[in-house]
Amino acid sequence: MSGQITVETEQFGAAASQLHSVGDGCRVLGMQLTERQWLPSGSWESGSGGQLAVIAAEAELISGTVLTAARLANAVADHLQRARDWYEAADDAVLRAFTEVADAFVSTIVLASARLVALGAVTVMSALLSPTGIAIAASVLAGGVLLEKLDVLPSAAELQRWWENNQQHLANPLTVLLVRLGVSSGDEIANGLMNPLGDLFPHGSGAGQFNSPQEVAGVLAAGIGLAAAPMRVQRAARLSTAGTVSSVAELAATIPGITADAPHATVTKFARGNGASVYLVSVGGTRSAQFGGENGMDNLSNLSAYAGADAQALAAVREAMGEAGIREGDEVVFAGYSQGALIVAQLAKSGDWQTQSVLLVGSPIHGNAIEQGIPVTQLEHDGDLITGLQGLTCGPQDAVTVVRRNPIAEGSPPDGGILAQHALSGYLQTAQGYDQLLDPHTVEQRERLLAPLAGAIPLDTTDFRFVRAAFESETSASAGAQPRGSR
Amino acid sequence: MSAVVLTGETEIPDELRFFDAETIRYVRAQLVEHAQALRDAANVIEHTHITALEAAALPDWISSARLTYDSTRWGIRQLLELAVSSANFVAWQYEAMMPVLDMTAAASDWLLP
Repeated sequence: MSGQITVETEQFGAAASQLHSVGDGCRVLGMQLTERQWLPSGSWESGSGGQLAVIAAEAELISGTVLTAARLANAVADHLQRARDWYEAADDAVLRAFTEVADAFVSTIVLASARLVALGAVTVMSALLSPTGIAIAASVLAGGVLLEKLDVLPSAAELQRWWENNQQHLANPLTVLLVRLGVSSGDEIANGLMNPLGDLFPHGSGAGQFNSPQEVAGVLAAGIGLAAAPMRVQRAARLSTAGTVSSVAELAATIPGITADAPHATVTKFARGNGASVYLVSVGGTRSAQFGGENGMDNLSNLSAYAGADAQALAAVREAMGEAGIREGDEVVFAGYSQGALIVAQLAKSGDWQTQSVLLVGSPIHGNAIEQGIPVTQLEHDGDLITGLQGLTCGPQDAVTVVRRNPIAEGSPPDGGILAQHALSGYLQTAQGYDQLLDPHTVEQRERLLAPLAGAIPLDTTDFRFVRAAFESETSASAGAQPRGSR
Repeated sequence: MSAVVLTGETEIPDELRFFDAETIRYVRAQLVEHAQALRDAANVIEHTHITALEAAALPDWISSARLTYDSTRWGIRQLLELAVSSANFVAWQYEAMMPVLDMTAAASDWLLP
């Protein structure tokens, strides 16, 4: 496995939790020592009463020392917790301020470029309408064809081949940063494109309509979704129950792959030793680049889930969870890859279940968005463009851990494509590498993620596919799936 | 000056007549428990709490406040180490008293069968 793994966490909370454990542990120990009768009864009748009384007095002092240490440790932990809140608030404020500047800068460049292109197009079109313009255009066209024949200019096929052979170079951290900037300023760009004269109006005049990239995605999803067929949740045939989960790699491996016959989501019911049930909901990535086609895990679902709208695949996973027997308030562990990560993050955020922990793999949404103190582990590759869709974000906050790796340390493979670093297989290797890290902080974070499933026995696994109704009969026939429910 | 009781063969000081071997053994048993409790406490402080305190370090925190934080953590560590040393020392003292009590009990057994 290439590429070193780094683990990013919010440090103050972890340190405060350690200090609280010291404080609480020492307090209990100090109380136990205080309650003990250090001078044995009958000491004065043993002939050594004096010596034993001195030793007992010394023992009494120990509890005082331990209780003082406990009070100090708890006080420092409380202050650290407060400092963490202040730092996070400051981090948010600084990020907001810089995001505003970056968004204004990017949107200005994009909108200015768009206006220049539009202006140029209008100028060229008006020039082409004259006989001279037509003659010039014909000459340029003929010259271009001639130069291509003479191999001076590359042909369209050569350009296509060049792009196919070189697109992997775009999968790097700089491009991810550019994607983050572009996404962050998406609302400003959309506002500018919808209202070309917007900059003539003063700020706050109502000229702009979107306040976040999610709102833009929501409007697009709603518009496209009007023409899409309703989604159906199909229970797919499954031969065996999933295995136990004792590592992050095993948890990540429960996420469905992207092969044609793989399910879109899988739900496994586990039983703990005390008889309680916990469900593992694993959701896979995007399967189709279409917007509203047969496959329910397509870009329309992506847009909808990105907007947080309870429609398309997000609603389908909710329905699948219900079909698998999960009721509101049940304990659930979520794991998702790509679009699946987007979906499980929104579901965990909803608070409809007792979400125990979340694994996000190659996620277009940052784990910070889930909030509520839920342990979240987020696997990210440095050049994964899909993670750039998170926009500009703060570092990991609360109980979020970001596990980062550059899987292609020596450069992307020639046939990797622009999304080479987004491959689920690469993320499974990252999960294996993360499992091997043994420093105490990392072990503790990993245990927080896996604790809800530790020692639990898998009872029943159900696979689901999401298909838009207009295509259902055809898909059912080919996949042997049984349609359940409707939407 | 202690009174002396004549038993015919041995003269027994009043102090020894006062000591009951059973009571002494009972006191000794409590010493064993106390020493063990102190050793256990020292062990928990050393291996659980001091380890957790070390894990609470913030090496990447760049701020002048870190100096205060590290100093306080150092202070807590000194208190805990003092508690560990004291607990072990007091446990040792309890253990050191055991042979004394053993001898007193043996003497009491021998003199007052």
